[in-house]
Amino acid sequence: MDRRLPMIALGFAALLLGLGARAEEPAAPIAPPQGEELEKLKAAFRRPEAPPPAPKRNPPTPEKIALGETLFFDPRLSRDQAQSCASCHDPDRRWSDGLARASGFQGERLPRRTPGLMNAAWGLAFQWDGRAETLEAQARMPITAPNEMNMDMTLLTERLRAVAGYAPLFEAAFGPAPEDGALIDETRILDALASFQRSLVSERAPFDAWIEGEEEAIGPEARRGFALFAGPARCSACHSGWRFTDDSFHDIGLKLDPEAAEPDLGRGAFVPPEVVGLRHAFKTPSLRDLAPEGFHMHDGSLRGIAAVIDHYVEGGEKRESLSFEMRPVPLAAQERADLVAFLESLAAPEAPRAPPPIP
Amino acid sequence: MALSGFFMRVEVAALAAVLSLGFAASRAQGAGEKPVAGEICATRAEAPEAAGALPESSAEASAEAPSGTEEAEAAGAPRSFTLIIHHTELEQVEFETRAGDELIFRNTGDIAHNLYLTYEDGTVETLHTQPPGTEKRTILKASGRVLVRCWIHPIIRLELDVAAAE
Ligand code: HEC
Ligand code: HEC
Ligand SMILES: [Cu+2]
Repeated sequence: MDRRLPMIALGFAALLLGLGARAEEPAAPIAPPQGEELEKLKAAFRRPEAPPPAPKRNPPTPEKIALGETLFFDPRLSRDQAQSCASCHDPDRRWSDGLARASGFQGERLPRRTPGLMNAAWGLAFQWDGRAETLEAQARMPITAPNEMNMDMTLLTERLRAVAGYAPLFEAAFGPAPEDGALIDETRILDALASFQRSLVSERAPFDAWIEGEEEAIGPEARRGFALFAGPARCSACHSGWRFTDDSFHDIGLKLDPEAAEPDLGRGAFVPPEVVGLRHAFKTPSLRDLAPEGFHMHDGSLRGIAAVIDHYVEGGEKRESLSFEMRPVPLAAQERADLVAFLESLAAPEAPRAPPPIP
Repeated sequence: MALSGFFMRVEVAALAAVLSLGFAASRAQGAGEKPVAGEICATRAEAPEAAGALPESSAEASAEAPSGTEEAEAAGAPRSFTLIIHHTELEQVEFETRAGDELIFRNTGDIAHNLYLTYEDGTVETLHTQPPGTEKRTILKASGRVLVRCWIHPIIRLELDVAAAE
């Protein structure tokens, strides 16, 4: 016999133990990781020190960010001048609207919930179905969508050129009009909006202080909740890293809307039909700065964090597209409370923000 | 519950390490033994890997070609390359591939993937859901740029420059 057998036996033992983790029995009270193991785990959730990344083509400047902020709050971006980006992405509501589903052009009820915008600079795909690759490309979508701002980019450019107060803002941000172009054009509008959004970064949450070594920054419940989240509950299989998202797409088995004419395929609408696993798959949202009693999920179908936890305990609807990572997570009442406490520790105190003057 | 997901990740990584070591040892002693059956071991031992062309983690194991694949050593014959995906990192390797070569994707992390290849003419080949601890294989069907991505995790991306078959 060679040296291989003991190795393989070891391998098998590890495999069996690994499989054991999938058994659907209630989780025994866990001993949270300690010492070096805990430090390694914490490092995976530590905030980056570098400023928000930006594409080389569109580096942020204070002037560009200021212009973008003005545009973001300006209702002229919608055809009927009734809605600005901030009407739906309200800074006082964590850059969302507090609704289950967004209210669009002249009050039309939209099929999806308005996501918050914090830390978007680090995102790899935008919209719930990831159909926008950059924030620049995304910004055009709500402006031109007939059920959102219902605007036309040419008309918008003309409208802004007619506002005397915008010229100095565009000039400060982008310099004078190029020889072959205009001071105010579509690209500059979208670049400024994207730059402003890249400047939106979560404030430090109690969890961040704990990660950096302030032991008492979060309570024992939240600490146990973190161990569950990154451990037996396997939340971090998808909600990974400091933003708590893998920027990826999963069907977590939410009930399909019985009132919708067609079920929302999410990412599945953008992949070949044989890729069954992406049907009803949506982008993993960040878990920072959640509104504890707010609406959650792409369709606003769950209200309050506790309802979300219940969904994961049940494991979602068993269908062909259900993510491989989704399986029932049996949790005792105390463990559910621990997870909620942990998620609450990811919310920074709200920083009040006055809207900018609109020219 | 015996182990948490967190520990499971470590286990799976350790398992992969243990297996590589096991194989390195066994192959060093004399290739060609019938492998002990097992999810990962079996596929691993069957892989006709070409010498010297493999990424770090499997380089040791492939220092010797397994028996039965000597003919693969002949110039121009299709070869086989193993790529490791660990969590959302697909090993960025530099090797020269030709049409007809086999790619083996080995998922050593603890999450599932759904890889696909896009050929220069736009043809897309989907390898479907790949749970942790499994391998997916495909034969490179055409030369030119081939882009490997994951439907689930857009961050996964590997570009290959595939030469024409010899
Ligand atoms: C009518 C409400 C509404 C308005 C107005 C609106 N949005 Fe949105 N926003 C939404 C909804 C709903 C989504 C999700 C859409 C989807 O996934 O299909 C969204 C998604 C986004 C996202 C993607 C976030 C992510 O995490 O993927 C960004 C960025 C964004 N909006 C920025 C803007 C900007 C910039 C404007 C103004 C030009 C704007 N929005 C105007 C409702 C609105
Ligand atoms: C399979 C990957 C996956 C796993 C595992 C997972 N999530 Fe999620 N999570 C998602 C996705 C994707 C969504 C959005 C789904 C949708 O809207 O259709 C989501 C949504 C959420 C939301 C709502 C956030 C919002 O802004 O609407 C919360 C809270 C949440 N998850 C917490 C958890 C917790 C706690 C766990 C562990 C018990 C967990 N998740 C496990 C992928 C996952
Ligand atoms: Cu993947």
